[in-house]
Amino acid sequence: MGPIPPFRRYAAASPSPPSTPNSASDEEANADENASADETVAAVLVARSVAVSTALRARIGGAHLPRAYVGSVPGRRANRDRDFEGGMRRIMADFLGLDGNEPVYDEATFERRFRVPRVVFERIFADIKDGPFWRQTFNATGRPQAYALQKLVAAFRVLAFGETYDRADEYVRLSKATIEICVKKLLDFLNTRYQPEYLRQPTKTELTAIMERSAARSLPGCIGSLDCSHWEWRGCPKALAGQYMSRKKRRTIVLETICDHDLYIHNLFVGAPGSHNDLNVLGQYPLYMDMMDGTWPPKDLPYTVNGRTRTMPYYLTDKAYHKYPVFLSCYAKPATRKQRIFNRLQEAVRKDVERLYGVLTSRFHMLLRPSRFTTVPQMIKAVKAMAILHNMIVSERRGYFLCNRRVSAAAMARDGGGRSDDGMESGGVGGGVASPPTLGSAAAGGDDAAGCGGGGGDHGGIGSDEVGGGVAATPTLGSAAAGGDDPVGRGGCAGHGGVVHTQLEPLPGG
Amino acid sequence: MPDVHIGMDPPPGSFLFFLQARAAFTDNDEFVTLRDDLAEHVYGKRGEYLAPYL
Repeated sequence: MGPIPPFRRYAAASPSPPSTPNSASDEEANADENASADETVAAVLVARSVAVSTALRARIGGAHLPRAYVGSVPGRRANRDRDFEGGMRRIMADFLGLDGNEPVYDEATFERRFRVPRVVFERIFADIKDGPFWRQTFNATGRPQAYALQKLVAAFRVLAFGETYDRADEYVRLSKATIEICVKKLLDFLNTRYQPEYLRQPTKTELTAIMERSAARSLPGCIGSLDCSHWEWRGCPKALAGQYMSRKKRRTIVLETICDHDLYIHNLFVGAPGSHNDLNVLGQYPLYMDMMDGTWPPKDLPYTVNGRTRTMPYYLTDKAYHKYPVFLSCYAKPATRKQRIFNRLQEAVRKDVERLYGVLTSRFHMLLRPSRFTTVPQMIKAVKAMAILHNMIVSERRGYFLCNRRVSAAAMARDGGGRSDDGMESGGVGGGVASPPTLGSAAAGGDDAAGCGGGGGDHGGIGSDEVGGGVAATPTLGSAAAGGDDPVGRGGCAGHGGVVHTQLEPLPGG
Repeated sequence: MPDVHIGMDPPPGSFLFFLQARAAFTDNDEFVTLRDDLAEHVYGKRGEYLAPYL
């Protein structure tokens, strides 16, 4: 400890009152004594504070800690010259065409790289490109920064391949920190912009269509399939490890999903700890609360089974769920042939939701791999964003699914339209509402809505043994079924005419 | 769960409405009846319904 600096005594702010001449000498003596005592106390306090602060700095190593923000000071590492324009040119040349040349990669490759068809990607880009974060800006030195397309491509690569933020730097020419921000901004944008449209409760029209379709698949009154899956959480804090430990001894969160026959997600509940079983998760499900309150499902959609008319539609579930009329599970121990046939068909229709998890994880590898997010809200946001993207793709494509094509063709044949199977513009299934199947086309049960057959391998917590009936899904539209690296149903995209490509911003000098 | 018998439908949001909705929602007998009816329904048209899976 260094020498203690001499204590400096400051004058009083207000002048003291004049003293009488008789007591002057006594007061001077008292003042000198008080001054020396004050100086001693002050010196001790200063020495103590210096000692305490020195010890504290030594204990926490404060002398060696970097400051949180240093700003523009000499010695700070300069930004790398990443050549934003070069990165943008490469992206455009590869996927969009540049200088009058055709793009290097075709539509199938585009979808394999970005996991969404071009029309969905361009719609998102058109909506996002003028956002305050996404548009190109200039830094303090006047240099142009990254383009909106670069940021979007980087974010999609993280979603598509589940790769680290640093991985795409060499291609899109963005730093790890920028790509991390891009991903989080994209997840925010997808949730705020598209959730009211693509992740909402079905309307009565949609429910009617789903019920008619289910009736054609042998189960009148069914409005979807319900099941849970898990997403491993690698970034789980140790303090929460016990709470989020699943039965497979991995830290996970639970996804509870309701989907229809086209694998369109109608409801999603994410974030329950992995230690919870299906019933615990169901107890936290907001939709379950609505069911208990009688506000869901709607009671004005009657259907008739075996001569009895009922008003409460139901979801298909596995045997773990409650034995309530809104959750229809199969017989636990089928004794008769009638019950065995019912089990077979119930499991065949219920496998839609199992296929959904296969399709989701095959398409977005971020869900396939353990999450590196550190908080549950970030994971919830990511899952919802991927569900929204999935629903956008299904909305674009559901008219091209083989099952819907069969239904449309059968309806046209029955009505005497004479259209061939290829008359897709008459499908009438798009726009978020499936067309009512007028034919008893039970073929819908086995058709693959998104070109991904069955489970798609090991996708974390989805027991393939639960997919009952041993019914193989039929690959559609020439797409390789359930390719681990192959996105869903891409075969149907290339020829789907009428897609107006968004005009991207021109490059300076290009 | 007590049985609720009342002459008219209770207004939505009322306690009786919740009670009736909960009773209808958790009716195990209805679940069994529905499943048996569906099994009967499926069995009647099993050839048509099972055709895509065979």
